[in-house]
Amino acid sequence: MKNNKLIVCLTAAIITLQACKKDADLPKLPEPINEPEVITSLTLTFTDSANASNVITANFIDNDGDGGNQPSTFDTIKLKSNTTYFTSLSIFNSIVNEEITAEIVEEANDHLFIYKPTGLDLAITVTDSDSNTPALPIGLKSKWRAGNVGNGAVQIILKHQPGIKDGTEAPGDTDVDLNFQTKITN
Amino acid sequence: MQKLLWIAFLLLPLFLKAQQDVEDCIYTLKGTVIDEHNKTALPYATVVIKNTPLATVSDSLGVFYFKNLCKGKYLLISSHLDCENVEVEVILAQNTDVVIHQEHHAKELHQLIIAAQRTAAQKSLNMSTLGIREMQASSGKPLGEMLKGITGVNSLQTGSSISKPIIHGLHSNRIIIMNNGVRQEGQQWGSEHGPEIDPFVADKISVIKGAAGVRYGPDAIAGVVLIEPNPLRDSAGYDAIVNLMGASNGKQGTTSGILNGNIKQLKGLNFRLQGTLKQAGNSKAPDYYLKNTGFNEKNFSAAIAYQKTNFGTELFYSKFNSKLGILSAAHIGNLTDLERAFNSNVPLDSAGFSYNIQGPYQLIIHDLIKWKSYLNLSKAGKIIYTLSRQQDNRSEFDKHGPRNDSLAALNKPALDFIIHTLIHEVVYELQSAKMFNTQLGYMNMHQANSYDGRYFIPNFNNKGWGVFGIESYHNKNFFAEAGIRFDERKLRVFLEKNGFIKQPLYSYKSYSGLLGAGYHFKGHDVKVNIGTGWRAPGVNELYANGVHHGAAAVEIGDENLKPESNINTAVWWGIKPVNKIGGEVEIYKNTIQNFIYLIPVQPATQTIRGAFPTFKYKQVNAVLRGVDLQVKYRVSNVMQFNVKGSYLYAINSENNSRLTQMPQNLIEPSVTWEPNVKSAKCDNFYVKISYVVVAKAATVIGDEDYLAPPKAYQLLNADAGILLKVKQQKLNLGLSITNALNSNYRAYLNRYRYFADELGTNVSIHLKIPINFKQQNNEKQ
Repeated sequence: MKNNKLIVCLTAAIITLQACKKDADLPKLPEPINEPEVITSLTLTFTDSANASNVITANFIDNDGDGGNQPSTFDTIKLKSNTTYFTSLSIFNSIVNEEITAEIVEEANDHLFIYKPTGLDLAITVTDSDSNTPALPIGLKSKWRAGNVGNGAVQIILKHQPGIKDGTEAPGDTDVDLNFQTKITN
Repeated sequence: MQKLLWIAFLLLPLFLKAQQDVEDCIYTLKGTVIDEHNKTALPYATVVIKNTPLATVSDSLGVFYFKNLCKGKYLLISSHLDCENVEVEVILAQNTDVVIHQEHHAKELHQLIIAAQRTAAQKSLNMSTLGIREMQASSGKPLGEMLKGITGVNSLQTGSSISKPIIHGLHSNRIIIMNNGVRQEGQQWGSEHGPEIDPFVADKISVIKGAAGVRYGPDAIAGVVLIEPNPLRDSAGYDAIVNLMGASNGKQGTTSGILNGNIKQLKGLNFRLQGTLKQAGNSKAPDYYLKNTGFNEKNFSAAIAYQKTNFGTELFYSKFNSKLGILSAAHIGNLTDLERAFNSNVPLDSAGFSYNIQGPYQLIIHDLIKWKSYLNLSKAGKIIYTLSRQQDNRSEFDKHGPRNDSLAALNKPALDFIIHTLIHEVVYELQSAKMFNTQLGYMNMHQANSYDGRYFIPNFNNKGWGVFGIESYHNKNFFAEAGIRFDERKLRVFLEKNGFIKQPLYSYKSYSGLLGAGYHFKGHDVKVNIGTGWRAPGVNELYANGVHHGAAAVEIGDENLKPESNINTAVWWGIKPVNKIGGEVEIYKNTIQNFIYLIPVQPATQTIRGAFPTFKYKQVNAVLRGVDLQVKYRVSNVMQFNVKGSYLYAINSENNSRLTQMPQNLIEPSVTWEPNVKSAKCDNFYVKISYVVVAKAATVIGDEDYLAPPKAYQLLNADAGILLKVKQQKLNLGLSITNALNSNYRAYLNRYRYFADELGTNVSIHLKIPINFKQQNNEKQ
């Protein structure tokens, strides 16, 4: 008889617990992605050294960040032959509407942009430098000298090198790595 | 409907009771005498029941029977040549299985009493348990590493601190880990998410290989890992165990303690307190330190129970708290970085020794609370009810924090998951006099997951329930069993798309089953089984979408995946080492339909960080065939030769190509030397030397992996142990050396294989001190 009582108790306990847990732990609804690390777009602005009103831009835009949809814009850089351009680079996070270029300037001693033209008569020199001793290049500002007509690509890499920046590409992590199709025309 | 079903289960014993014999003295007490040290059966032990004329001798398998016993309390005394007597108290209320651990060569009276009731269900599956020596030699290591001591079990590693078990080639969501009777639920889908378990809680760690799903859940497609603590103390008094461990590589120190008590004044009330502290710094490959590979753990558990013959209830709580450094060099930007890392002989980001853990690291807190009760209805069987709640919080921190200083000051993880799991389980067991055993059960699970930070998997709710029944028959030489299970799963996913919340619901239901038999003849045992299981796709397989920085790959889920289902057939043949030679061999075939598998797709994903190789979850039909082998040969009284090996051939049966991410085949010969050093001061001395030969992983055709598997390798390992007695205090001392030759090698299933070598030589010392307060009290009296 005692056993039967226990069965009743146990049954009651189970039913109570079954009933209580309903909806008790519904998960929070997802929040919009809010990752401060994301870079969603990169813009190159070329100013003709001989004619300041001749400005060209090239964009990479991937508004939802890494993964998800493919980038919406990935421009081809179109330069004029035998022309020198002063080039500035800016990066942006459209998810939280944040200008990241300023932060790169703040932490210039830990960041480096690298430009690698392939298949082109194009010489790129970085013109800005950080406050390391000796001073090392940053790469937000550069000078592009386009020579003969041709088709190729320019690879742009941003390395994050906290405390390990030595002016070369090897150390650190890659934050940007884009291969822009590039055309030099008459 | 669900409630009706289990009410039916609860009522079932009442009907069965009506059909039972009215005779009271019908119980069978079956026992097995086991050598405490090597866990082998001990034949010819004399077992008597105190204060009765009843006596018997264990057979060649260490098994003995007492039949037609009445309900009540019995004191068994087991004695054996060169052993001291062991006394075991048994409370008999139904047919009972007892295991007596006889300490061979032991000198002391009042042996530690262990009387464990083992369930007879799913006996046709091969179950292997880690031996006491293996447990001691690997103590302080993560669970996955300890389990490697079992043939057919490998591990999926992320360095030396994160290790997941692989059974017969399968891991993660295809293995169930039963932690102290509760299904472990965390973020087990991730290959770098190790089980959140402190192995020091366990007294016994076993692996059931094959389709063990009928009892534990149909998703146990590969098998089940059982983590079992010692039963709580059943006689009045107190005892404790202190474990100390130190290792040279990573300068790891581990302390763990257990205190058991049974309060005399409150009859039947007993408790246990347990805690572990671990700390390790950067580990070292033969030629360099692995930067940021330190880890620490702070674990605690407590149990309190009230146990009587007819009724018992137990409350258990455990907290697992771990911080794990991730190798700095393994956190990379894109494929170019990965190739550069792979082609460099030394990791690109290296350092000296340090206990300091920086980003990237993982912070894991796992809480488990369990309430378990049993009700013994004597002839009508036994009901066991378990309620458990788990909360698993996994935070993953990136290598560098946000550039913005105010955001960085918050020190928020890049990825943060919290999952709650509530599980009820009711199991009914009946062992009838005619050697029939029935197990019926109902299980219900409710789970909720939410994330913060970067998207990798969505929030979800997961509800499931299942019912099972297993019937088995066994007589002296033969047994057969059959089991069936039905499960239903409902997964609701919460997705945000263009400002709207989408809530797709996935519903699955199916049957699983098991048929098995075994036969015993002249020291040989043969077991055959066939089982089926199924697994609903995991939420990561449906909805993952993101970059895995450790592998420089994009993983994309497929929301149209179907459940996997499998048929697993296995034959096991064991020879008891009665003569010079003994061993076992298992041959298995696991056919999996709709096997969910990551396959590379084109084009690569273009991101601002560069192009990432992209992998999508797809379904293929797979066949896994394999053999596990173990042979023991006793050369002389003091020398034993042993060979362990495992071989697996896994294919995609649609195009007969080999499956990637499968363990390497290996063979491990070893020799154990046990000179007789028995004296008043020491005993149980042994030295074991083993040589592990690991074959190269299957070469993959096409672009299934972007880097070739590493070379084959060999390792020399050794371990030794001795039992010392200082006055009345026993000390178990162990020494173990892994990679004794300091070889450079890389293991295929270590995620760091792209970046760094495996660990160099590691020497560890293990000390186990059992303390019996009760004995000291007796001396005073």
